[in-house]
Amino acid sequence: MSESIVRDLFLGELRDDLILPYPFLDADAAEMLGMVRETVSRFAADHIDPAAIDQAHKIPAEVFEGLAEIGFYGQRIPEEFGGLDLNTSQYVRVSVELARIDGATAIMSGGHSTIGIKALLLYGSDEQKARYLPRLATGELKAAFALSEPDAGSDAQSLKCTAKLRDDGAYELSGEKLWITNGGFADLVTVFVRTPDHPRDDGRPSISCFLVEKSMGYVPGKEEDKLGIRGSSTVPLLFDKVVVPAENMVGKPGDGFRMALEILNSGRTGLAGNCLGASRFLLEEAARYTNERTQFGQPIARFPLIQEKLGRMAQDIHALECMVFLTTGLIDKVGMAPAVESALCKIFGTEVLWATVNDAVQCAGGNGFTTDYPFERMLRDARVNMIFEGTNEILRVMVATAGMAEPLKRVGEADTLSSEYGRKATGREAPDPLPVPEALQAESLALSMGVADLAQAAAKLAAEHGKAIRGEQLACAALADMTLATYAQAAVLSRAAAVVDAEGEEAAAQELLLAKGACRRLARRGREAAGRLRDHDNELLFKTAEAVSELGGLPGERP
Amino acid sequence: MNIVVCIKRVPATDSRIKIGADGTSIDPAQIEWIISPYDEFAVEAALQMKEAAGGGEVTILTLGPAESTKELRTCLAMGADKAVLLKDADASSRDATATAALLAEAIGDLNADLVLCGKQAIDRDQGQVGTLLAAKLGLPCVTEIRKLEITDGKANVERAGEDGTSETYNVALPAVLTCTKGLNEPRYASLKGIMMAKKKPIDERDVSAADGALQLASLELPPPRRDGRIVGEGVEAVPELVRLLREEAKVL
Ligand SMILES: Cc1cc2nc3c(=O)[nH]c(=O)nc-3n(C[C@H](O)[C@H](O)[C@H](O)COP(=O)(O)OP(=O)(O)OC[C@H]3O[C@@H](n4cnc5c(N)ncnc54)[C@H](O)[C@@H]3O)c2cc1C
Repeated sequence: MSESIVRDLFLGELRDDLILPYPFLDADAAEMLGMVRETVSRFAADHIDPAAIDQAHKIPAEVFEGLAEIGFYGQRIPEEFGGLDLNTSQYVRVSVELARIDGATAIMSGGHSTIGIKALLLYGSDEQKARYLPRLATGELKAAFALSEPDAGSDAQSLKCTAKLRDDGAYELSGEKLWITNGGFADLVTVFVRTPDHPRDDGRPSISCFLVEKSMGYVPGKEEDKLGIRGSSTVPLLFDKVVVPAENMVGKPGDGFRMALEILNSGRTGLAGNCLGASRFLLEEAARYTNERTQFGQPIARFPLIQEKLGRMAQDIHALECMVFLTTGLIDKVGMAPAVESALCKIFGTEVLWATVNDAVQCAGGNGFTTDYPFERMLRDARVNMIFEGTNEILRVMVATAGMAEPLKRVGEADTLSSEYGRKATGREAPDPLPVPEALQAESLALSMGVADLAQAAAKLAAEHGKAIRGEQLACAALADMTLATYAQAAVLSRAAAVVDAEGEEAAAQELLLAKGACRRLARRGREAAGRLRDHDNELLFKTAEAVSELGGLPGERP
Repeated sequence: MNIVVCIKRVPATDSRIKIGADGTSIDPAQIEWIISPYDEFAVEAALQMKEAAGGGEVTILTLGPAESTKELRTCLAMGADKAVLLKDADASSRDATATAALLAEAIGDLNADLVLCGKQAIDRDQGQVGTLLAAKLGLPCVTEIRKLEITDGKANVERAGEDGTSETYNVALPAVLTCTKGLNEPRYASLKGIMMAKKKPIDERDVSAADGALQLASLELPPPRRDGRIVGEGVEAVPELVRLLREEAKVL
């Protein structure tokens, strides 16, 4: 990890140089985004019917064509190849707009721009870029990303698809890829396969990356019948001795797995942006529904238990927005290694959306459960986000493992009060609070305490478990949740400080209200996660789970 | 051909309008602003003519507050070449005569072969600026056109006449035409157009004008709509419904 807010959180430090100032778009970029938003929402109003897409299990051709016309496929492609060269902050904001409208179309777009063309963008040769990018920018070619296989999901490195080097220098690909977004219609697929003819020096499996054109002969299988995002294409791809020329290998042979991880790491803010867009839409629909629906002689929006839902949805969504845009801003401004922060955005985004859609369905009562309203479809669409692009379990372990790297190196230092780290690790010292407006002093202090708790917990776990901490998954999850809470609080405070700076406390009243509520909620969440480290019944859980596994169901059933 | 299109920044049709503290203007907070929809037909017509001719220049002109650059940029993103903003913080309180005079003065420098406007701006709905502008410029004017073709330096235009008739005119250029629905389907600004619009020029000029002859005295919201009423069900309800529509609502 290079520059990273999270690495320092684990050491008890708050990097105000990275956290402040909040990276709002400048006036030009904001104006441009306004126009993009208008184009997307007008295009969508005229052409995208999410309920019809859901029912037909298909995005109609006119949506594909219309998106091509407005230039959607070239968002991340450099201008020299006919694209728009949007940076991450802009791209994610556009994703937010599309995801407000239709989850399936948003996933299709992400399958192309976030992961499908990424290997080519990051690692392609000039010749490969010139060959494919112009047609990918116009949408003449659509892209997909194929890593997963029947026996290699979370453990992607165990993939079995194999490329054999032929005498003529070309490769022959055989095997099966599974769950490939856009696979049913894609023209160019980034495929990761084993390349035993190029063994790695370190003895790890040699995996390489190829750009495979549809015409080279792989066969897409049957469309999956899915719970949600039913309009998106998800298929297996069968490779039966598909011949791929050597010039279609991307990057160095044997380097493919690292590339795959980096592509996924760099793209997770896009998925978080999707979740933000869908959540914002749901909040607006819930606000409208609860205003219009009267029971007991008044709009249900006036009942405290409904207000609780509207309030917490707003607070969570606000925190998510701050966190996602702080992260994309850092990616663009300081080129921060985005892996861990992006993973946090993905975890938080997917879970905020899930909680939001659950609350929105509840607000709408019976109507929430029917296809006359968008809630049930959006509930189904939301679920997959916690599964793909790295399951939230895998990502929590990844966040904790990455964060623990430094504390593990500094175990010996952790209880020497003479070092600064020692004072942080023993809980003697909390980081200086972020400089924030008067009205948020208490929240800023609470953040410092949260960071101190995290550093102390990390040091303790490092001493207790050493490198084996990775296997202590529940502790890892608690650490990840503490990290998530503190990172999100920092993002919320950063934005509030910027808004108050620009507009004054009075004009920023609403921002302060949201910020205060969001920070308190997050701080509580962080304390709750810290509590799980001390006060838990994990042994009982594990024993019970073992019994379940052994007996194949509920242990000790009685008639 | 040089085409000048006059547009206006107006509140989006679904905005919740609130009256400002002065009692004569709309409170701009929380309002989404758009290009008046009839003006979009004018912009689209200009772009289509330029594309068909394979050349020429489309200039967008507006009188409005500084924020109108957003609407101008949108036109540039749709494909217009340049824009002129007559910056006037009080634009919304200018009457049609003053507005037309300021626009006419700017058009004087622009060497226009054709001036296009929307038939009316959807905020005030007065529909005067186009014709007044033509009068100021001393140009012929056809209002509410729904078809437009240029041949041999003349505009052939069609508008709806009385009782569903269609009127077709041949107008010598330069001329002022005001556009209405049916003329075309305005395009979306493409993402690429939006990026390119960054590099196109907006000429911002400060303007001022004496108060016009008309002064808006007050602005009031319509009375809140009454709740719907269910008169009855099925055919039996029809006579009562008709009676109510005639006697209470007075729409029959
Ligand atoms: C709609 C859809 C679209 C997709 N699109 C693509 C695509 O375009 N390209 C592509 O390559 N893949 C794609 N995927 C595949 C997706 O990335 C995988 O489904 C995901 O990585 C999980 O793998 P799996 O399904 O094999 O689940 P598994 O890995 O079997 O996981 C099952 C459960 O076990 C948990 N688990 C697994 N290992 C561990 C561990 N070590 N510790 C704790 N818990 C663990 C997981 O978190 C999960 O809860 C898509 C999937 C779906 C559903």
